[in-house]
Formats: sequence, structure tokens, C-alpha cells
Amino acid sequence: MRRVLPDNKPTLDYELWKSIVGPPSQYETVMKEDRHWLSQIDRGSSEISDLWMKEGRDRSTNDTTKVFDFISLGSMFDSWFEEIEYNKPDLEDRIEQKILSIDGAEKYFEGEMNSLLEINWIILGRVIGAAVANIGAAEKWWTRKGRDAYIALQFWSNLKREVVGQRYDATHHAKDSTILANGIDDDKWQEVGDFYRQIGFDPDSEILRSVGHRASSPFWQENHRPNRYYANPFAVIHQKSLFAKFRGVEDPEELSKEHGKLTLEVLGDALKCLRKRDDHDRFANFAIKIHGMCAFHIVRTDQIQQKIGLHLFSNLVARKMSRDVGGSNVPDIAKQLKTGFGLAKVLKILSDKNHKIIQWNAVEKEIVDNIVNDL
Amino acid sequence: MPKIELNDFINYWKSSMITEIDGQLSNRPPGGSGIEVGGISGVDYNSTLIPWCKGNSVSVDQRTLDPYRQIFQILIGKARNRLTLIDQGNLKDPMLNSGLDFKDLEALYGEAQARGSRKVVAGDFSDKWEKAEILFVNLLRGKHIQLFENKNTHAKVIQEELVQQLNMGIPEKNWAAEGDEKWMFHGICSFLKKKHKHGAHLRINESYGWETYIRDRWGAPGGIPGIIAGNLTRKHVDTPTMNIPLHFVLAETLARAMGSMQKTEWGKNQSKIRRDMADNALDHPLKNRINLNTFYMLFSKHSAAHMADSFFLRHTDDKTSARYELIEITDSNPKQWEVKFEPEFLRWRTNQRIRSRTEGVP
Repeated sequence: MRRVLPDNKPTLDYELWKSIVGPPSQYETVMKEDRHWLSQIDRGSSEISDLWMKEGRDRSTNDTTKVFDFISLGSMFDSWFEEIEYNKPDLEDRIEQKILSIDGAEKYFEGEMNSLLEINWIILGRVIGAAVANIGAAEKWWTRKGRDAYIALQFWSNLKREVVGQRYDATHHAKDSTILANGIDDDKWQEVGDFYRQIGFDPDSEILRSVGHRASSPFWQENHRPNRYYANPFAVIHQKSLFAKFRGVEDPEELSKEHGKLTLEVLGDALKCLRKRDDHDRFANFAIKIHGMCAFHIVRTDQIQQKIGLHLFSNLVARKMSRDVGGSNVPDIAKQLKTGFGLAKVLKILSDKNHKIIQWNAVEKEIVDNIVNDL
Repeated sequence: MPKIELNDFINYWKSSMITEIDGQLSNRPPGGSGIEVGGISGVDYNSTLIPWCKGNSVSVDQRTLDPYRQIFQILIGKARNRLTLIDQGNLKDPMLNSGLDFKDLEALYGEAQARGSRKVVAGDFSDKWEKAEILFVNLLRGKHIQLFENKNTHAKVIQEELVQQLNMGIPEKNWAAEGDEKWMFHGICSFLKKKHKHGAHLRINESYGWETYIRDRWGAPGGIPGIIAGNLTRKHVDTPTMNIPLHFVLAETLARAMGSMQKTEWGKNQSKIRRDMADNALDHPLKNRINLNTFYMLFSKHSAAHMADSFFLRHTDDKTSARYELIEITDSNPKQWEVKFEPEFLRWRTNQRIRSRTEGVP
């Protein structure tokens, strides 16, 4: 049954948002206190929650005007899309220059340089999904803890430990991004793998990712004898950034409870750097950071987590990239997504000021209905 | 549906990869359709095999399918190593480590039989090993693997006996049998276990098209002066003759077909969606596109509305998936779009329709 847009005309989303943006602009930002309130009152799976029904929701605790929620991809992503559209050759040159200064990168990306210009939004969605799960678990909103991401954290440390051997020092070597640059011998790779296979994660399955998209793949096995294993140097840089963030946290919880927040902070930092107009390498740095985040994320087991990250986030990206849809209404998304997580809680996390992955707005129901009826 | 797709693959593989030379079935030469050796042309991947990949690439949770993809990766990887050593003139080492053995399976799946606990009866075969067995049975039926009883001796007699049993449907009949009759005690995994100490292993059947596939995928592409097409002696970074990892799609399709045996067919709705999309596109006046609203509605019809948009991004991650191009309809008001499909994807459905007309199979 129709909530906002007619079921047979979902592509009216473009015109709807265009009319809302105006002029005159007819949307309002959902303020911090309202985001908090909505996250508290949201109950049940997204398709049955009262907040996203065709009747709309109350604007706030003391205003019963009915509104519909709209979400957009954070505006900081816009400059990346523009760069890709208008300045691709320059970006390609800059990334190639950067590669030369990163240990092991030239070898890892040989013959696959073109993959560096393409962000793997689907994997980035999974990264975000795992981070959201972890943050929500720390708030005791749900029991899923983003375990995937935590196993990934442990795996990268253990891989370094195996390669360094007896001399390994966790604090010291977390900062060292050169350890894996010369590849990993088969026996060491198997040894680490054997341990993880026992707990249900097989690192060999992740090697297959290098066939599809080398830039966001965690590992690559030489296609030629002696078939050594190589780790994506961007992932190792990401590990360094995560641990640097963790060391900077005042009064930190254990890492298993903090990694989601830290991951979104690293993403937020990458996005904020896109604003530094005097830094000509900002887009190259952004690409390297995002590829690193994606490559670092190596375990994918939780489907609900995937719905949040993969589908909610990547759908916003796909609509923005392919049709320039600036905002999507939440009731229709909630109906399709059928996620077990409280959607308002997820939106609260994703719209946090530290990263602003999405922008969360509201529009009066009457305005929306009038626009849709006129389309 | 995956079973019909598998049958299509069997036919496409045979007609594309194999040819008859002096009354004997033989591999086509590497290098692609532009290459001719002794009057025999290389493989034309574009007519049927690549379209088949585009139609069968699924985007269900890839982890579900991973074990099957990994088995293929090991089989192909070891054959590739062997062929590389042969190209390099190393005639001793190729006998070693050239297939998938019991140890590889244990590394992938753990122990074959349970030691027993409160919930599991001692001796029960693990689900993963059972899945591997079903995979091997299907591969042997399709002539894609060979059994070796030691480092370099083809277990011809044992293999023929097994094939006979497969043709009589014994695995299906005795799958759930109790005691010694149970197929797992007599099948391919059991062969690997019993003969493990002698070096028993499975190899991809190189003489059934796989050598050419390996050389086309990892070897020198055709047309490089001074280098024989498909040669593996050194690393090549040029676009290979076959740039689609077909073996992954075959692994996935086999897994889906097996899933249907276990009443859990993965990617079923996606198959229906792809089929409907292709049918709608072929009915369009331009024969290659559908309206974007129709695209979304087809996903909704099959309970997968949430997946529609991510299909536009899938090709980043997966070279086997079909590419979708969005085209704005000029002067449309309100603005509208069409989704244009790549020709290979539509050829998959056209090939199916032709087969359906000639054989009467849906």
C-alpha cells in the first residue's frame, strides 16, 4: 500500500525532492533533540514502526503537525562525485603519484590502477553497517555488536604478529605500515588462516575479492609462482589510523566496544578533508582512505547489518550517482528495507555531526501530498 | 531453474571449448576466436559462455557460496601451477601438489565426521563435507574433474566405477541411508580419505577444455609478437583473452542447484527478476531496455525492492554481473529514465529462448 510515492512510480522521487528543495525551500533539518526523541520512541522493525506510516509522524514532542522524514547522502560526498565527473584524469595522476610513496602499493595495484578511481560503495556500506551495529550495541539498543568488524581488527593484528614473529610488540607494530609490504609466505598465511577457519572465518575466501575490485580487496595472491600473499597497503594504513584514534580516546572502553565509533570518525575525517580546497591531493587521499576502510573490512556474516549498511547507504549513493536524487523519503525506504533494527536509531547514528554520512530532514505531510498529487 | 542453467552450461562448454580433431575430442587452442592453429580456431567466449555468466551471476550473501568458489579456486590454482611449471620446462615438479586432496578439504571444512557431543551423534558427517561431496558428484558427472590415486596416476578404474554408480543415481538413492550403505562411505570424499597416504587427489579435467580456459584467463593474450598465446611462463598484465571468472559463476550455479536439492535454493528470486527484466527488455521497441519504474516494480514483485538500487553498483565488485546503464528519457516530464542492459546479458535470455523453442524445455 502506498505511503508517500505511488508504488508504480517510484522514480517520482527525483521531482519530489526537487520541488521540496525549491525555491522556496520547504524542508527543515531534524534537530538533535528531535533525533534523540525519535530514536527513543521508535519501536519494532522498520516496516511496522508507527513513525514511517502513510499518516506521517508528529513534528516534535510539542507539535502534532504531521511530517514525513527525508534522508540525503551527506553533502560532503558531492565534491567527490563532481571530481569523478569533471576531473578524472588529474585525479588518476595524483593517485598514481601517491602510490609511488606507499610501501608495497606499486606491486599490489600493478595492472589494476583504474580500479583506484572507483569507490566500492557496496563494501563501504557494509563497513558502515558493522560500525552502526557496534555503536547501537554499546548504547544497548540491540544485541548485535558488529562482530564482523571486530574479528577483522583482530585478524590484521594477528597477521602482523605472525609475520614479525617473536619480536612483535602490539603498540609499536600497530604504527608500522611496512611489515606486510613484502608479502606473506604460504606457511605463515596458512597458520593464521587455520586459527580463523576454526571460528568460522576463512581468510582465503577474501582473496577472491581481488578478482573483482583490486582497490578495495584485502588480499591478493600472486597469479604466478611463488604465489606469495600480499595485503592491501591501504588497509594497513587504515589499521594505523584506527589505532591512532583509539590511543587518543579519553577513558576508552575496550576496543570491541569502541571500533564502530572509531571507524565512523575515520570516515568523517576523510570526508572533512574534502573541504580543504588548498590541498590538491585531497581527492587522492580520500580515495586511498576509503579503499583502505573497505579492504580492512574482511568478515561479512550478518545479514541485518548488511541491510542497514549495504542497502540503506548504497541505495542513497546509487540514486545520487545515477539520477542526482537529492533526498529519499523514509516511509518508503522503511517499507522496503524491513530491517530488524530500529530505523530512527540508525538514522541518528548516521546523521551524527562528527561524520554526517547522511542529512536527516523533515517536510510537512500536507506539502508532500500536494506535490505528489500534482506530479 | 539452476538445473536448467547447468544443462545449458554443459552444452555451451562442450560446443565452445571442445572440438573434434581426427575423430578425437580435443581442446581448442588458447588465444580466443581470432587465433587459428592447424585450422582450428580458439574459443569464442562471447556467443554463449560470457552471456551465461551474466545471466547467472548472483548477489546473494557471497559467504553462503564461498566454499564452492574456494574449491574451484584450489582446483584451478593447482592446475595453473602445474601448467606454469610445464611451460617453464620443469618436468618433475608438475607431478607434485597438482590437485585438491584430503588435507585441503580438512583445512577448508574441518573434520569430516563428528566426534560426538550432546547435540551431535559421533560419526555424523559434517554438513560442509556433504556439500563438498555433492559438488564433486556433479563435477564428475559433467566430466570436469578427474580422480588420481597417487601423485600422477589417473585412477581410471575407480573413476569409471564411480561414474557408473552416478549414472545409476546411487548417490541420491543412498544419500540418507543408514549404516554402511550411506553414500558418504563410498563417494569421492571417501576415496580421498582412503587413499590419502598414497597421494590421492582430484584434478580439474584439463583435457576437457579447462587447460584452454586457464591459459586464456591467466596466460599471454593472443596477438603479442613473439609470445605464444596462453603461455604461462611469465606474468601478464594485459587484458586476458577471457576476462570473466567463469569458474566462480559455475561454482555458484552448482551451489544453487545443490541448494535446491536441499530445499534451500539461493538467489531464486534474483533469477526470476533477471529473467523478467530480460523478457521486458526484449519486448521493448529497441530490444535492449526497460523503463526504470518497471525495473523497480520487478524487484518489488519478487520481494526484493531493497536490492534494486544496489544492482547499479554491483559491477564494481563483481566482474561477472551484468552492467546496467541509466538513460534519461529526453523531454520527459516528470523526468523519467530507462535502464539499458548490456548485450551479453540479453544474449543469455535469447539463447535460452532459442533452446526452449528447439527443445521445449522452459
